Amino acid sequence: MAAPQLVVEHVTKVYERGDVHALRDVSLTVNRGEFLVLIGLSGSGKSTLLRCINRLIEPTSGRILLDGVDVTQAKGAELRRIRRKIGMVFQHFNLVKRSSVLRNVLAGRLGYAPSMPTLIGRFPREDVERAHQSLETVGLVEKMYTRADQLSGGQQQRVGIARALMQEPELILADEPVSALDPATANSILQYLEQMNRERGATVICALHFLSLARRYGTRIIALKDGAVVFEGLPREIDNARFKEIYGEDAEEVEVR
Amino acid sequence: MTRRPRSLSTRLAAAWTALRFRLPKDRAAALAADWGLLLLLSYCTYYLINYWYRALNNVSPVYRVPFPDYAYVVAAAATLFLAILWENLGTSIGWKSVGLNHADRANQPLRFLPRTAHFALDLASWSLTAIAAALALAPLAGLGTLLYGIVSGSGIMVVPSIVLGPLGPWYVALGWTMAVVLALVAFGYACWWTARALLGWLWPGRRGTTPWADRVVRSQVCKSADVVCSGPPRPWWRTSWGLMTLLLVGVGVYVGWLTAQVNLATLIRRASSTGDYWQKLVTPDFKYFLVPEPDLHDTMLNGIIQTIFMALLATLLGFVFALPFSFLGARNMVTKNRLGWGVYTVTRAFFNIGRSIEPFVMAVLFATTLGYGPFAGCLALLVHTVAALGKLYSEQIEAIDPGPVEAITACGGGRTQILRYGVVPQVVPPFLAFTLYRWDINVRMATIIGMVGGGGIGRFFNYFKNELRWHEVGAVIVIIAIVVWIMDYISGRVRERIT
Repeated sequence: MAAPQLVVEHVTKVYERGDVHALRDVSLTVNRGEFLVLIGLSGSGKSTLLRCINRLIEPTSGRILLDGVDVTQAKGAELRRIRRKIGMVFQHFNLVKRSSVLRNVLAGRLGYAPSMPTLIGRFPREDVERAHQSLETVGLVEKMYTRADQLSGGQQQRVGIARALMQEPELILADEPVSALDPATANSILQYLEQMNRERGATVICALHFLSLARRYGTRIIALKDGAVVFEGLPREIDNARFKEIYGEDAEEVEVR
Repeated sequence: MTRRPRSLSTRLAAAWTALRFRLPKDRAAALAADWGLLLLLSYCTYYLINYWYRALNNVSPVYRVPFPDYAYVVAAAATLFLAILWENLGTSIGWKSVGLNHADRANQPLRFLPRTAHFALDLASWSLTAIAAALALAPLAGLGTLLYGIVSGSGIMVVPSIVLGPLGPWYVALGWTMAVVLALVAFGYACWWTARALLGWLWPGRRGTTPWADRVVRSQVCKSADVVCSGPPRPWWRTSWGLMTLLLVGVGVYVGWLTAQVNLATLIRRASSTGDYWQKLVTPDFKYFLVPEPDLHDTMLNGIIQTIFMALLATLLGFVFALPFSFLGARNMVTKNRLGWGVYTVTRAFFNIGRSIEPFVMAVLFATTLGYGPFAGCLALLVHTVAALGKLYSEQIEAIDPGPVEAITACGGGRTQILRYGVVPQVVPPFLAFTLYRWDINVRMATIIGMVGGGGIGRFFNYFKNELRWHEVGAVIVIIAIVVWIMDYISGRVRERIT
């Protein structure tokens, strides 16, 4: 078996303000081509873990290896090179609301494009071409020149995915990509992620709230509770007892179709 | 449970309570009524003490009339009555302060704390509050005395000249002045700190600390399980910062009234005798709007155009200079490390100092060095505009949505790219709106600046005013009003469009 794509070793994150332990000695490995789903209650550390992987948050201690390169030691240009391989999809889309869809998608290419021309708003021709293709993939070509804030929530998230596509990512971090969306839209968004996973071979790490969605899309599930890994295994291994263990005694499972 | 035997005072108090509390349903209104009464009672008590003094000494400094014999009786009766009222009021406020509904009071035997205890607690709280207020005011009084001393040539400031003679060495005078000012500042700080601490202890602060009186009362009342002790939070005007604010506003109005020498009588008396002047003002003479004024060699039209363009240039240049500075003055952009904090502090200090010097004052300075004319006025406006716009811009940058910044960072964007694609698109429309608004303000300021040598229409105003040509002054006022109104309207419409 090939070496794992991502190795997280004993990562701990302590927020100094309030002395909160967001992550407690988390270790995990992710192989190429996996669709890994993170589950857990709000505040269990899913977002923090995802953001530690591309260093939007600095881990307090521990190591994170991506393709054998230590992410936690990377600085400056090297860090930017690592980040541009990692696509990220956000819960609240994080689009520039006043900019056009095209401009938002092109922003995904900033890690590759030469920096001086981009400062006056110019991108290489092939990047614009690539933006067209990405928007085609998510079915939003005709909305290219629309302002981002005029789209529906589902459409905005598709723009977010198109932006991640621009990075030609080897790894996609999705931080609760469907929490702000209705169930039907949620399914279609996850299908886009699945498509990227299967057709382009991008590894996906996705934080989700609904167990039904996790079972449907995940090839593997990791559950966090109070910043520590409490379960790791296949989707079907999560039975009622496990569920209560992860979400607490009072939890009831909610179906989303 | 057995009821206490009801004394006369209790019964009177109960009747009074029923009368007072039947009407206001909610606690805030009831408390307001209580505090209103408290004020009234305070005044009555003050009067009563005065009355006692006069009755006992049988003197009347005001009326010069001997007191009748029954003065003692009146004073005694009034004292008794007031004492009952005080006691009752103290109790009522005490109960309401701990969040108990006064309406339930009839059903609750007072077995937890005697009424007098409530009263004592409240009275103590308010006495200490008065002390705190006095402390807070002491440095102001000190400053006032100091200034008065300087003006009238007495007091602590003239000590060195008394000791060393009027022509002592300058450094002694300077040293002494600085020492006195420093001492006053230290004294003021100490007083302010003590007052804050005292008030914070007495009344609930913003952090939700329980005031001292409430703690005492609750610790007693809550021994009984059938009383719910958690009341709603106090209204803002009964918290330490609320009280402090009210106090300062009150003092401000009082001092302001005295300093501004407000005299309503003058206003009315003079209004009627200056009819001629007003009549000239409201019949403006526009002769020199297009015809050059012989002494000024210019038309009013040229003046107003000069004013508008002075404002426009100052605004545009202000925009150009303020833009880069505003990023240095935004906390979320620079304060990643020590150096950043330094840059931020310096930039913000520049903004604040620049804004605090009126363009009017700067125009005087620039006109003196650069010569009278629109250039000096424009420069004065520019300095103020850079500072004001810089501050507005920085605050806008601090208020951006951090999401896009996070997203661009995650894409591998560099620092400048994050600024260009995460920050700039979010702030451009509000920046434009602020700039237009600033132009609007600058036109208004430019009219005034002309009066001190900054050129433009203000120059006409100043000249006509000095020559007592009120018809022309009226014309200038009308022109300024029309232009300002038009600018205001246009900038308002455009701002609506872009945000």
